[in-house]
Order: sequence, then structure tokens, then C-alpha cells
Amino acid sequence: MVAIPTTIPTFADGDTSLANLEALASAVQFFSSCDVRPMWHFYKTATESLAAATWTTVSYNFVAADSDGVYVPSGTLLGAAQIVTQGYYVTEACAGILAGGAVAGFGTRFLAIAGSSNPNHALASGIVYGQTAGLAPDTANQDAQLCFGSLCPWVLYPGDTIQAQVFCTGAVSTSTASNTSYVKGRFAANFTGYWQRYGT
Amino acid sequence: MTLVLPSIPDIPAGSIVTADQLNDIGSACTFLLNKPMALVNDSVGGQSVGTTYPPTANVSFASKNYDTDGMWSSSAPTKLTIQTPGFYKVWFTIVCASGTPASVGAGLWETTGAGNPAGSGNVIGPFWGTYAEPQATTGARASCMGLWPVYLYAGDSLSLRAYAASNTTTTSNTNPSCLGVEWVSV
Repeated sequence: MVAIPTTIPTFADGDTSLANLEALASAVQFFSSCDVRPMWHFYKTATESLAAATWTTVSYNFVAADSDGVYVPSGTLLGAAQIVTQGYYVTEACAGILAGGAVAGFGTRFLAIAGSSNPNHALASGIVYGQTAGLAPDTANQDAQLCFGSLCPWVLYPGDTIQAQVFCTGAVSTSTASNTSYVKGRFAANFTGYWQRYGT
Repeated sequence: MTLVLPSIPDIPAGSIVTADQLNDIGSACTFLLNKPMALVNDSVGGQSVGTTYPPTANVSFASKNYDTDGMWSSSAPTKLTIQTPGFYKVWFTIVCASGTPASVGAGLWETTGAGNPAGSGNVIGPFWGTYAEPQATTGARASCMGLWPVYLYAGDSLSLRAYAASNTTTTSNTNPSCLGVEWVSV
């Protein structure tokens, strides 16, 4: 867990406290470095089957950055983020589906679920946010991608999880963005989140 | 509430660092720890979305998820009014009912306030527009995010406006229309 500098030291004239100076340096480092402040960036490098008319958690399987150890590496929440450090968070993601399926509707969203440490929401209760949805493009002939992002409406606590999810009206596979052409797969499927601000 | 913008001290080589300078650095950290953020939502729904472009009606947000700097007011729920100047990042979603018969779009507009050097009442935008084509199961939900390209002064306000190919309404559900902002830089 990252130590949030909730108490910023104050200095008096002639102050010789090395501890205060170190606390100030830690605070500056926290706010200026994503190696310290919680931030993650996951990618998806393999396709994944999606059942029709079901919200499915995207299994982001490659960790490019994860300063706070939030990545869920296995299980039903593979590819989700499990919060370690309390605070307000922003999440942004991109997910896509491969061409060839009969898909009428296509949507994406985030789902935050409260863990046992969250004092504001019951264990396992959830909130959907950042949802984008509508008529899919010509998925018979080309891939389709949606990028979505939002402030999480909740202050998150250690143990809370955030999933990026996809919904399709027809069974199809997620795309991974091979970047082989301008038209197909030009967006990399990814999931980014970062700590924004202290909150309770 | 208006937060005091941080002032980072200049400490030349060879100088003796004063307590005031260190406390200024500490104040900057405190500011970042408590920086302005707001997220409000359309918890009521049923707002008309017309076909005129550019739209002139602002979407109303009846509820706030949070507001750390007094930007939202229940008496003026159609805007977020900047209290602390700076550059801001913005997010929004427009949600229309599953039965929405036609495509919907939305964008953000700014109205300058008295604190803006350009004067008050100037309307700027839209920036960060978005669009969705409805589908029977999913409805139409369009989201967008980005850095607001204009420096915002205290008193400036941001509003969401939507339009559609045929008249429709917003809908309230577990993920209603919303507008969020985050202070990012002086």
C-alpha cells in the first residue's frame, strides 16, 4: 500500500527536524511520480469469447504498469484492479470486438464492487459508471472499438475492485488491436486507472 | 470555497532555506491532496432532448456524487461553476432511454464569469462532443472525456447540452447522465 501523505509537515523558523523534511520530500514524490502514486495500465494481448447479451469482464492479461499492485492475475476477475490505497480514482479503458459476428448492440462500462474495508457501501454491492453503448458499427466487416472513461463515483477502499466490461447482443470475440491497418484494430485494448485525490 | 493555488518557492543555490519556503512546498502538497473535483448526475431523468443544433438547453444534474470545491448548487443544477482557477479535465455521459428512436449527441459548453478577463457571458464551445446510435437492448449512451482546452477562471461554468435526430428524453437508472471535472494544473 502506498502511504498517502495525509498530514503535510509544517516548519518553524530554525526547524532542524530531518523527519519533517523527509515527510515533505515523500509528499512531493507522491504527487509528482506515478511510480509512487497509485497508477495502473493493463493491456490485452489475446482474444476472448463473449457470450451474447452478458456483461463480461475484459481479461486484460498484460501489465505495463502497476505502481500499487492492484492487478488481479487470475480467477473470475482476471484483468480487474483491486484497490490497495484509499482515495478517489479515475479509470479509462478501450475494448473492442472482432469483425465477423452478428452484433447489433455493443456497450462498455466500469463496475466497481465494494470490498470488506469499504465503510460507505455494503460488501459486494456495486456501482456501474462510465457506460457507453449503442448500435454497433458494421461488425460483419470490421472490428469495433469503444474507448470509455470516467471518475469513479465512489471513494474506493482497499479490497474494492474495478472491472472494465463489455456487452454485445451477439456472441463474439474481443479484439486485441494488432495495428495491422488503419481501419482494423487501431485501438489497443487497455485499462488504465489512477489515484486522484484523498477522500473518505 | 476557493482553494488557495500553490506557490512554489524559488530557492537559489547557496541560499538558506526558510521555514516559509518549506511551508509553501507543503501547502502545494496539501492543495493536491484536496484538489477540486466534482461529479454530478441526472438522478431524475425525463429531460427533453430536442433536435436543434447547436442545442441551447443545459442538462440538469439533480444530484452530486461529490463536490470538493462547491462547484455544484442545487439551485443552479445545470452547470458546474469553477471556484478555483486552472486547467481542468472533464468527463460526461449522456444517457437516453432504450426506446430512443434516433441518434443522440452531446457536448460541453463554457460560459465565462465575471472573473474571466474576457468578461462574463461569453459562450465557448462545444468541446469534446460525442455521439451514439441507439439499439433496442442497449439504448443510447455516449461518453466523452478530455482536457478542457481553455483556462478556466473563478466564475466560469461548464454545462452539458444534448441533441437528437428526433425528440427524446434522458433516462435515469443505475448509470445516469453525468458531468465530472478535475483540477489538473495552474
